[in-house]
Amino acid sequence: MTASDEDIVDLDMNALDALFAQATNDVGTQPSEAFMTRVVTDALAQQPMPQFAPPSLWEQITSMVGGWQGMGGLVAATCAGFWIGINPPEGLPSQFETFLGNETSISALEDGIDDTGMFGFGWDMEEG
Amino acid sequence: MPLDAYTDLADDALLAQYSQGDAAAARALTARLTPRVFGHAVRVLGDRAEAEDVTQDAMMRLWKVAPDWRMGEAKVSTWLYRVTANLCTDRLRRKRGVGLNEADDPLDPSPSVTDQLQTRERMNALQAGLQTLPERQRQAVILRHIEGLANPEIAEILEISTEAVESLTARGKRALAQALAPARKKLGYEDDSI
Repeated sequence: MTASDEDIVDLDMNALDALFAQATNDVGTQPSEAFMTRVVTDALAQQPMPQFAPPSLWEQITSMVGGWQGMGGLVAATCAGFWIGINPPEGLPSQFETFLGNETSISALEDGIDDTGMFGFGWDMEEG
Repeated sequence: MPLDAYTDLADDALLAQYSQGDAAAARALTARLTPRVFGHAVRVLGDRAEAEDVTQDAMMRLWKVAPDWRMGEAKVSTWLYRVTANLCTDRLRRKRGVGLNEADDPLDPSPSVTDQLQTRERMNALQAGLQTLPERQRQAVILRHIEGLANPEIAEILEISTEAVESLTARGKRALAQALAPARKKLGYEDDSI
């Protein structure tokens, strides 16, 4: 290759590079608005729906009683009731004491004997 | 989230948002990737209708693969270019023998560009010249010199070595210069060598 041949090739390449630069910004190779809309429509049609994990059993229970606040209230009420049951505060009216325990066991035992002198579960006596 | 907020997000992050049901991410990805894919397809195929088919197909594949996309492993645009390049190759194999005259039709003879007749003629001549190149050379030249991608990325897209890309682009460019030489006067390059 002679020096003049190389010059010609170099000039060709420079002009070609200019042509490439014009082609980079060529509006003729841009997609139409209608086509872009079509692609977006495809995208939305193929889009997975948002995934939500199903609630666990514990989450279902807590939500039934009103979430964590409800659960806290329930636990507090249960503890208070249990403590009052074990150790009823003094000065409660007598009907409350009866309800809460002091005389309950006796009355329950008495309720087991009816007027005929038989226990509530009379068949025990009859069968001997 | 407003559309502007997506401009800083990488393609794979946008794809993850899309998979979580974010409609704005779908629009942002479409706006970002479709023109690039379409531009490549229309230059390789020389036909807008066919380029639209290929682009729509490539984008559809992206939407379908989105839920299984693994962040940080592959570049979304590289993957998409590769799918597009393969779809173009399939099309060209099916319709071998496109002559220069057939590819000579203007891509988009829009009346709004009549004042840029020279530019349009040059673009059409370039398109016609590109159509004379072997398919792999054409893809490599378009990706390197018009899309502006780096050789390693082109190598990944065309699934060849970087050296092979360099060889393809060099030979392609030389062949293109020869193909355009007869039209240099018409294209306003009379004083240059094209």
